[in-house]
Amino acid sequence: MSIVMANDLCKHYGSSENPVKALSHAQFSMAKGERVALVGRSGSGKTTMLNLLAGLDRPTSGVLRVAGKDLPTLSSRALAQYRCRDIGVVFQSFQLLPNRSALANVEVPLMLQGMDATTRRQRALAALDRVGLSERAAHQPAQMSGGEQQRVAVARAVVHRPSVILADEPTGNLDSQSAEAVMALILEVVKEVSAALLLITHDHALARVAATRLVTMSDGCVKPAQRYHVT
Amino acid sequence: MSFRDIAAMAWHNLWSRKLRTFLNVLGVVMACVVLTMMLAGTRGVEESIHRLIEGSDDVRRFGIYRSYKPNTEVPEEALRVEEGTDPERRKRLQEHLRDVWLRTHSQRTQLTEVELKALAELPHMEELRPDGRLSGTLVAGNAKTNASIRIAPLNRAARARLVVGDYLEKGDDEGVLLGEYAAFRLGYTSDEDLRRLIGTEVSVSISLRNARISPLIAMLGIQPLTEASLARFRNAVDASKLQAVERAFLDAVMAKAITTSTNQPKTLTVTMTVRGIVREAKEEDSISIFNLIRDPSGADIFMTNARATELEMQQEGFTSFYAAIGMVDDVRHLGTLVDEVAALGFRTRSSRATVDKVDTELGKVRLALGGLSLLILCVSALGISNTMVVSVLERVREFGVLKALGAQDGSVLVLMLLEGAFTGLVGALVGIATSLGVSHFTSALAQQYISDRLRHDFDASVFRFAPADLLLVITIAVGVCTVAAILPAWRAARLDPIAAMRG
Ligand SMILES: Nc1ncnc2c1ncn2[C@@H]1O[C@H](COP(=O)(O)OP(=O)(O)O)[C@@H](O)[C@H]1O
Ligand SMILES: [Mg+2]
Repeated sequence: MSIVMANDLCKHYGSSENPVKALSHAQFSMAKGERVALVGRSGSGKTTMLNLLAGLDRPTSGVLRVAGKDLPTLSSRALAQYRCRDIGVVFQSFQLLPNRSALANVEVPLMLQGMDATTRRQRALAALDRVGLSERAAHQPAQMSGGEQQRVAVARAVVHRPSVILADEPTGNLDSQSAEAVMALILEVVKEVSAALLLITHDHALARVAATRLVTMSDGCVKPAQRYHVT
Repeated sequence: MSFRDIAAMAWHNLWSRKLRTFLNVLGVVMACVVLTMMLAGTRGVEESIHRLIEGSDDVRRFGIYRSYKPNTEVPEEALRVEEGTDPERRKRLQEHLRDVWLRTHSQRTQLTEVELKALAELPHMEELRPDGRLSGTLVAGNAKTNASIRIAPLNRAARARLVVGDYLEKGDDEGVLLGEYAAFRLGYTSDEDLRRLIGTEVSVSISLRNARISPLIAMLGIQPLTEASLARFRNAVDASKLQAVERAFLDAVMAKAITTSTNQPKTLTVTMTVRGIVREAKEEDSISIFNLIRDPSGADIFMTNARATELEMQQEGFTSFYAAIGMVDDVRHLGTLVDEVAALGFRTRSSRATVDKVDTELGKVRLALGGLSLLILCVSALGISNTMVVSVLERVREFGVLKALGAQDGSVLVLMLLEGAFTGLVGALVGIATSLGVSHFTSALAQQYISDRLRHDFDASVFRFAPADLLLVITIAVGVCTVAAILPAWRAARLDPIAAMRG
């Protein structure tokens, strides 16, 4: 059983007479625990694909099932619930809440699920500890380096143990040293929670290290799969 | 996301943006201070005035008079007004003519014992005192003087006129108060004399025959007609071809010409004990906003209501009680009691209209001030709404992240509404606390000013903070600020997370 299954997926932007076809009839699937790297030129539709998978946007047409949920048919309420239970997302630009401590940021998905304060605090602390930032729990994003902020974001993406983790160029805003560390961390924690990983990147070397499978996109279409060695 | 978490987040958001929050709260505080002070001020003044009203016997007292028989037929020729005049004026003139006819044709009759009893037994009637003057002779030792007799009023103003001894208490039917001037006529002038008079027995004699002669007849010094000759005279007038005006004149004269009793003059003498000496009322004794019913103060002998009524009843029916003074137990029941007295067929004269007027005037002031402060609150709400829109625009990214991570639209909406509500709540609480502080200082000042103007003791703090008013201020502030947050909240809730996160 695949954890992600996209069939004939289309996403058009703009007017219906003159649409921008960001995704056209894309075919894509991921098995449970599989790690897939999505590569392609800028504007090829990678982020669009990720937004649809993350339940942040709805496809124009097509079938999209993630973690047993038929996303196009979900109400916006159910879609919000899906976002805080079934998936974890690491964004390129961290997207932490300013004015909130690292700990509070990691707590957010658990809080949105309605978990009680003490339990979620413990779990958030454990997650922060896992990314090596338990000392910085009380610090606000502005007091941390980019690499540290992205590690907080990684902790936030896995703290609720989602079955799919989506990462959109997670190292794109980092220097090479931090990038390496963050990437290694993502791989470790993804394995630990045995989630599937979709990693968007244009670094082929990185893709080769991180993923078991490489998928290329161009002009809104997914090219035939290219299988790597299994690690 | 639980409500608790949303509330905690809203609180945190306000706390982490201190300057913005401070300015918003300041606006609410100022509006709430104005609102609270206005409410407390009007309530304070209202309470003081009510205390003034309730503490005043004048307001509780009202006059009771016999009204003309309501279904008396007035002959048409008495109401004749030439056709062709303005119909409104014609109506007014006819009403006037009707009034004149009734006044001249109805005999002024005294209140009966049954009526007085019925009036006295009405609910909330604290005291019912027939209003009339008996006259008789007062004898103390060897001294003797003609004396007028009244019922001792029980109000404070009357008590204040006591010079020596004790005031007459209710139920002390054996006791009397003597007027200072009556005592002087009896030969008691100095303080020592007057003190000597206290506790001594005096005798009061009433000549019953005199009481049956109307003051008019007595004044003219003519012999009044007997019942029989008065009846003959009436018949003769009825049979005559007199014009309406002439008939009216004779009717008026006859109404005054009350017959004398055919009995021999009889003297009733009672022995009573002097309790105290009272002086005449001076101008300032009756200073009151509400002295519509001036208590008759001048008399030589004052006795209890029960005793005076008893003396009256020794005669053939009441002779001098044309009116009565009622006293309601509580000003709040004045209207009801006056209505009931009127329902028994009496005319009344009370300060009810004044009391009502004061109430409506206070209501108007309250409404005007309340409206004004609400306006101020609305202006500050507009300011809050404005800064909250800015605050949402500033935090678009933050809301985007929250929504991307799975926050429901409703949670974001509630979050922003709560930020508004908290602003209102904190503003109201600080505003109320400020008001309490300010009133503490101004109260003394304002009190001084008012008591200077009223020239009598005004023992009341100007501001009265009623829990209901404070609750109202909090409710209004929270309500207005929440409403101010609706638009920004709606905006925040409807944000598209992708676009919002892009910034
Ligand atoms: N909100 C949008 N409105 C209009 N066009 C969009 C929008 N988002 C993406 N696109 C277009 O869709 C195409 C795919 O974009 P994207 O998925 O962001 O590509 P990638 O992430 O691979 O660089 C691009 O041509 C882009 O201009
Ligand atoms: Mg992209």
